[in-house]
Amino acid sequence: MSRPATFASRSATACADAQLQANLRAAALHFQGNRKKAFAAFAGGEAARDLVRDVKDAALARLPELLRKLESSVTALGGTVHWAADAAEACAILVDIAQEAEATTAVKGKSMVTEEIQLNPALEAAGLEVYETDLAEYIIQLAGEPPSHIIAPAIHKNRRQVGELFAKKLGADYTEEPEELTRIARDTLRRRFLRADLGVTGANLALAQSGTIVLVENEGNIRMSTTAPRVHAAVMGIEKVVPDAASAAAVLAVLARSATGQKMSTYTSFLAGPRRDGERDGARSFHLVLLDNGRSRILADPELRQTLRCLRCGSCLNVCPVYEKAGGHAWGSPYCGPIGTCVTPLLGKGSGRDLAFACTGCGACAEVCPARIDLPGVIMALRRKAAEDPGFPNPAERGGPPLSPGAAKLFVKVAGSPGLFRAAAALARVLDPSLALASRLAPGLRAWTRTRKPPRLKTPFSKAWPALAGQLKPQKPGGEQP
Amino acid sequence: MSDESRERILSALEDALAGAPVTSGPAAPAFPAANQASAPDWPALSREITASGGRFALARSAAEARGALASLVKAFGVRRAVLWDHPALARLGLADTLAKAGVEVVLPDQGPAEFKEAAAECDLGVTGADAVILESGTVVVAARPGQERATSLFPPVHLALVTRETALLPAIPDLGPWLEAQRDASGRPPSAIHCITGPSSTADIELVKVRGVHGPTTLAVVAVEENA
Repeated sequence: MSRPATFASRSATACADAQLQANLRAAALHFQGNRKKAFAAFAGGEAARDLVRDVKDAALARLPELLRKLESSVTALGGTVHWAADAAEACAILVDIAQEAEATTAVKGKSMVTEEIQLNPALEAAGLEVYETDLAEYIIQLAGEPPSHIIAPAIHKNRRQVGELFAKKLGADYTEEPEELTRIARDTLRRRFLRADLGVTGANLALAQSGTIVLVENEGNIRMSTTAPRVHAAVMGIEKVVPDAASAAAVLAVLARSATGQKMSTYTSFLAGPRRDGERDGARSFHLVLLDNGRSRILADPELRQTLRCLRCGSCLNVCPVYEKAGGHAWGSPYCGPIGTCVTPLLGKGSGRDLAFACTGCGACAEVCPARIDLPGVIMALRRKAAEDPGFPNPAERGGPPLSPGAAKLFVKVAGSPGLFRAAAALARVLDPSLALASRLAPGLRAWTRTRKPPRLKTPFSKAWPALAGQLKPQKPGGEQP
Repeated sequence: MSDESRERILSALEDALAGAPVTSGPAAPAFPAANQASAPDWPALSREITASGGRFALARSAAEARGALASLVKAFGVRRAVLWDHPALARLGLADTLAKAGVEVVLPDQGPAEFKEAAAECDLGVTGADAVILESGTVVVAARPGQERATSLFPPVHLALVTRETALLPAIPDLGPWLEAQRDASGRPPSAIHCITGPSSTADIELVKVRGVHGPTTLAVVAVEENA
C-alpha cells in the first residue's frame, strides 16, 4: 500500500507557489476585514453567538428525535427521505434517484457535503452530465481540481488562470475581466439550468417541525437548481437539523456576517417539499438524503461533538495562520482550516491523523467561531488521541507520534527547568544554531525538525523582545471581545 | 438498504447520547423576545437596501408607483415582463402601465413548461413582498400559485413592491415567528420562501465583486404608501 500523502508534503508545494501565497494573503485580509466590520456594527453580536451555540447544542442533544420528526414532516409534504450511513450509500441513493427520474443532466449548487461523498464521479459513472453552477465550483470543475476554501473554493486561482481556462474549455475569447468571465459562465450555465432534469444541493439547515430545508447563497445558482429542474435532491449531514424557524433565524443572524461580512447572504431559501398544485415552478419531486458518514462517531465523543455545531461559514480558515500559508489543498479534504483539522479524521473511513499537528495553537479560530467551538481545544484532544493510539482515527492507517515519547519526555524535562533550558539554549546557540546536529544525534527529534525550520538562535528571545516590541503597532480597540 | 441504515444511524446516535449526554448548553436556548412590527422606517430600509446593492424608491400614491415602474421600464429598455398575480399589483394597475409602455407580459394561463421558457425571456419580473427585514434590507417572497419563484429570479431586473400586504420585520431573528405564522392549518409552510438581499452577486474571481450572476443584476424595491 502506498503511503498516503502528508500535510507536510502538500503544504511544502503550496508554500513554494508565490501566486498562491499572494492569493491566500489577499483572501485572509479581505474576509477578516469584512467579518470584523460586520461584528463591530452588530450590537448583539456576542449574545447572538452564545445563542447559536445553545441552539446547536440543544438540537444535538435530541438529534434522533429531530431526525425522525424531520423525516415525518418531509414525507407529509410529499417528499422522500433517504438515510445514508456512508458516502458510498449516499452516492448510490442519488444515482437511483437520477435513474428513476430518467435524468440525463444534473445541475449542482455549491455543497461541501457532496464534495465529501465525491458525488460527481458517481453520477458521471452512471452516465449523467453533471454541472457545478457556483462560479468558483464551475471554475474548479473545468480545471479538474478540488475546492480550496469552504466559501471561496477557487481562491487559489487568479483571473488570468480563469481566463485561460474559459478560453480553452468553453471556447470563449480570452478575457481576464471578472465581469466578462462571470457573464460567460452565466450564459453557459443558464442554458444548462433550463434543460437539466435534476438539481442537487446541500442544505445549511433543516427544520424538523415543518420539513423545511434552508439554503444560503449569493449567486442565485442554488435557486436556479431548485426552481428549474423537475427533480430536486438535497444531501445534508445529520447534524444540520434544528427544531424550528426560530432556531434557523438565530443561526442566520450570524452566518453571513461570519462568512462574508454581509448581514444576510443575497439569497436564503426555505424550501418545503415539492411544488404544490397550481404552482408552475419548483421541483415536482423532492428527495432529502440524510448522511451520517462518521458524524455519529463524532457525537459519541464528548470532546469532539461540539464540532457538529459548525455552520461551515469559513471564518476559522480566514484567521488561521497555517491556512494562510498552506492553502486548502494541503488538508487533502474538502474541509480545510481549523474545522477541517477537527472533522476530517472522523469523517468517512478516517484519515489525516497528521492534521492536528499542523496547528500553532494561536487560538484565533476560537475567537471568531460563530458557534463558539473550542477549535484549539479539540485540536489538542486530537493530538492526544493520536499520541495515545497509533491506530487513531483509522486502524488501517497507523502512524506514530511526530515526536518520539523519549524526545518528548526530554523536552518536558528541559523546558520545565528554566536553568536547564537556558543552558541548553546557550549551548545550542554556540554549537548547533539550526539544530541540524541535534536531529542527527537524536533520531527521535528528526520527525519534529524535518517539517520545521528552527528559528535562528543567535539571540535569546528575552533579549530580542524589547527591540521587537517597538516594531509592533498598537492595536486599535475594536468591537472584538476576547 | 436505506431502512437498515436508518435503524443503524438512529441507534448509533441514541447510543452516542446515552453514553455521554450533551450538557454544555442550557436545555432550551433563550431566544430574545420578538420585536413588534414597527411603523415603516423608509429611510432605514432605503439605507440597508442600498448598502446591499439594491435600489429603493418611496411612492406616495398608486400613481407614483406606476411612475416608478414606467421609469424602470424606460431605464432598462424592458420589452417583456413577468408579473405575480397579486392583489397589490392589480390594485395599483401595473399591468396597464406595462401595456401602455408596449411591454409584452407573460400570460397567467401558460403551463409550467411554457412558463419556464417565457420567464427566461423576460427583462423584468414584478412581485409583491410578503415581508421585509429592516435590519438587513431583505425582501421576503413566498411561492404560491400565480406567484412563481422564477419571477424574482430569471429576469435581469426584479421589482419588488412593499405594500400594505407586506409585514415589516425589524430584525433577522424576527423572521422565526413570521415564518411559523406562514404555515397553514395543517402545518404546511409555503413550498418556497426566498429572502432576497440585494442583487445576485459573486466575488469568486480574485474577490472582485460582480453583480448579476445567475439571478437579477438589479433589485429595485418600491415602497407604496397607499391612501386607505
